[in-house]
This record gives sequence, C-alpha cells and structure tokens, in this order.
Amino acid sequence: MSMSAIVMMTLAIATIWGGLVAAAVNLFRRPDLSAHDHTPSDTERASGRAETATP
Amino acid sequence: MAKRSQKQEIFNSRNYFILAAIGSAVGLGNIWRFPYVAFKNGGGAFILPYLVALLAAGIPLLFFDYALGHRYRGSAPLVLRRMGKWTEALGWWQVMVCVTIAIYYAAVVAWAGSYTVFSFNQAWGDDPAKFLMNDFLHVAETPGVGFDFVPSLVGPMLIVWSVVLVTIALGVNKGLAFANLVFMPLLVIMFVVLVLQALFLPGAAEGLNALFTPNWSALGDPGVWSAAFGQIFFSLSVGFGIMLTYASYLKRRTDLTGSGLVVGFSNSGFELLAGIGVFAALGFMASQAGASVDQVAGGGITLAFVAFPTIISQAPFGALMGVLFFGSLTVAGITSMLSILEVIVAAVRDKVHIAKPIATLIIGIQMAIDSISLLSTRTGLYFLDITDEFVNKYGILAGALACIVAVAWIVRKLPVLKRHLNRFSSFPAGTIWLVMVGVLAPVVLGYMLITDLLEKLRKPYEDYPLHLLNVYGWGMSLSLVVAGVLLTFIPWRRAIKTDFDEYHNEHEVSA
Repeated sequence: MSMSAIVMMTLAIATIWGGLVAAAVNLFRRPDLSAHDHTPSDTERASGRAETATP
Repeated sequence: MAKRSQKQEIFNSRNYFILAAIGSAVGLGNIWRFPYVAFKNGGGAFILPYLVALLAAGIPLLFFDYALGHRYRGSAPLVLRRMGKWTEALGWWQVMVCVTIAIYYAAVVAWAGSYTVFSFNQAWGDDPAKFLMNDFLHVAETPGVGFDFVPSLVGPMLIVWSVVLVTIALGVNKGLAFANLVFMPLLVIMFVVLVLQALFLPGAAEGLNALFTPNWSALGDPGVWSAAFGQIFFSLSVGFGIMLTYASYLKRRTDLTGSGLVVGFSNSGFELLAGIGVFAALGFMASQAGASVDQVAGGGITLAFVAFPTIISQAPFGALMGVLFFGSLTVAGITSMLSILEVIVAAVRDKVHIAKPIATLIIGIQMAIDSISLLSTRTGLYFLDITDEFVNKYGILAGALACIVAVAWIVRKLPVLKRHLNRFSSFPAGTIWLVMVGVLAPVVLGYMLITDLLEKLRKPYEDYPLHLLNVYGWGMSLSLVVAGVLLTFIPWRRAIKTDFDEYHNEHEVSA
C-alpha cells in the first residue's frame, strides 16, 4: 500500500470509528432518564397526548 | 375501542431503539454500494465530502426525523396530519415509497439467502454470471413486463416475507427489538470474521490501495460531493418515514440527539468496515485474474452475485467466506426490511385503528403476493433495476425534499422541533441545525434531483425501452404521489385525534 493510502485509511478509521466511540461515551455516561418514564398506551398515542406522563 | 388496540407500542429500552435504528440503516447499500461509490469518487479523498455530508446533512436529518416522530407520536401520515391537513399526503407518499421498496427488497434478500446455501457447494460453478442470469434468475433476454414464473425463486421469497411479517406482527419489543437483538450482533460477528479473512488473502493490500489512494482533483467535481450526500442520505434511512416511525415508539425523556449520533456513526462505521472487506477481496480477485482492481471493481448485484462468488470459488475456506458474506447480506437485508414494513403497518394501524397483527396480515399478505408475482418472474430483474433507480430518486429524494420544505418553510415547525430536541438531549441542536435542515438539505437534495432529472431526460436510464421506463419508472413514481393524495381521502377513525395542541401535550410538562 502507498503511504497516502495508509494515511487516508487511518484517517477514515480514526474519524468514523473515533466518532462512534465518542458518541457512545457521550450517550452512555449520562443517566437514561427515559428508563424511568411512564409508557404511554396506544390510547394516549391515538389522542396525541399523555398528560399522565410522569414528570 | 377494542381492548387489543390498547396494547402498548413503545420500546422498553432506549437501547432497543438504537439497535433497531442501526439495523434499519445498515442494509444492502452499506455492503454493496458504499465501497464502489467511494472508489469511483476520489478513493481516499472521498472521506472528506463523506464526512461533511454525514455531519452537515445525514445526522441533522436524522435528528429531524426523530423530532417529528417523537413529538407528534405516530406513523408518517399521522405525524404530518397533526401539522396540517394537506401535509398528510406527504406522509402517505413516504408510505407508498416504502411499499414499493419492500416489494423488490424482499427478492434481493431472498436471493442472498439462496446464495448462502449455494455457498456450501459453490453451486454457481465456473461462471457465476451465467449461473445468475440463466440458471438462477432465468432472466428474459428482452426487457419487458411478464409473468413467466421461475418456481425456484418463490420459496425463498415466501420464507423472507413470512419471517418479516411474523416479526412485525409480534410488536415492537417481542418482534422488532428481539429480532434486532439477535440479528445485529450476529451481523457484526459474521462481518468482522469475513473482513479478517479477506485481509489475509493475497492481493488484499492492492485492493485497499485502490480504495484509499486519494485523488484530490475529484474534490473539485460537484458530482463527487453529490455522490457523498447521496450515499449518506440513502444509507441512513432518513426521509421516508422509517426513523420517524421508530422515534414515535420512544419514551418521553429519551436523549434523541445522543442516540442519533450513535446511530449515524455506527452506520458509517459499518460502511467503512464493508469498504475494507470488499476491496481486500476484490484485490485478491484482481491478483488471481492478473488484472488491475479497477477492472474487477463493481457495485450492486454484480458485486454481490458475480464478483463475490468468483472470489469465494478461488479463496481458501471459500465456503466459509460465502456463508459469511451472503449471510451478512441476508441479515442486513432482513433488519432493514423490518423497518420498511413497520412504516407501512404503523400507517395503516393508525388510519383505521386496528390491532397491529390484523394490519400486518391484511397489508403483508397483499404485498407478499405482489412481490412474488412481480419478482419471481423472468422479467423481475428489470422491474427491480428500473424501480429501484426511480423510487430512490423520485420517491425517497423528492418525498424527503417535499417534507423538509413543508415542515421548515410552510408550516414552519423547525423552531418547535429544535426546542423539542433540546428538551432532554445531550447534544444541543442549535441555530446551525436549523440552517442545515432548513437550507442546506433542501439545496443539496434539490441539486441532486435536478441533475438526475436532466440526465434521465437526456438519455433513457440504462437504455431500457421507453415504454418500460414509462411504466416501471416515471409511471410508478407519479403513481406514488397520486396514491399519497388519494389515501388522505380515507377518513381517520374517530378515536384518532388528528390535531395537535402544541402547548398541552405529553411533552409540555415540567421536567
């Protein structure tokens, strides 16, 4: 492989897979608030509102 | 209201959603489209426009779809109906695009499944091209419309449709989430092993050299930038109801942008992995044939069903490589097809307010019949080729453009969506997001659409007969719009509330 191809491959891996790692760390280091949410039923979905949602 | 229709349709965990969204985004295009698009458009230099497209349009549009589905809670037509009466048609247009894609997508998944089995004894023999066209698909010599069945194609398609419909009918958690929980790790394991195997083949380095050697002069070509935006746009499943529908199944305080970043980068990460694996294998193929990589490189059906069988026949542990490659295609195809079907079933369920298994049964059986009737024939490949080309451009692209323009500039909901995204999200959607979705995305999509339209008017696509292009191409594209408008005339059931109070809804409570 030529040097320019190796550099571009490394750059692509670093930016895209590095971006994935950064995105995953950003998401999973924070508490998932939705885990404690009330689950709206289809009835609520149909009406477009779910006022009973747990704040 | 019947008790069964009160069943909850919400992802039990945010991680289920992320997995399902990645499963939708990672499809056939990642494996057989990205490597060739990158190779043809500057090689290593393509990474620059690709990253710009991902960050400037792909991820912002992913956030846009998430915000729409999550805030207005529904299928594409219901979400767009809740924004305005006339915008409902845009939602049905997206649904009709999904119907069309599902009809031919099932065939490709079925072919990949068949080739997984063929890999064990390399049933394609010494001439994979002849095997594909003559012995497997029995393709008619003249392009046309016909119902001359190829019985051996029916069984695999029936299996694909059955798996997909049963999974959808089982619901969001027991069906969709569970399937992705099984299939996605399987896909990653299979593909990583495949790439490792390809990297150790003689000539692999030459393949990677061909893929990654930068051609910097290509960056001055608007077509290269257009190709990068097109690849990101088609690959991420944005703009035709999929991500919108999935996001409608998320709980209220979900981190939408944080999840979107993981989905966007996972999709691109898989594409890059596919590029490395495919070009390592093509490098081996070129070295065996004593040719250069650009002489053997290709994309789409030719890459999957002609080039790869050739590689599998020549490579050590070829049967294993075949099972891994075609198994990956099959699994990636099924998880994407699940998301396409979900858009359609959700729309029907919302409109007529019936239980999901019934909606799946009614819609699914009819679609399976249409799909098998059109694709398991000797002219099925022509239908697939033309329909895929036209539905991508004048269905997905045009439909997404219309939806973005309507939401951003006519009903002017972008500021509301921005506020919605920022309510519980870890990555802020600022003014720059408004500019990218409201200005950049329409300009880029419009440019792609116009250049493609001019090209097709200048020269018939692939030199197919005009009558065939008029039926499968232009006629089909136009009929999707007409169907989208007509479907709005079917009244919503009384239980479905089609207006939306922006100030009093489940989201507008104190955090």
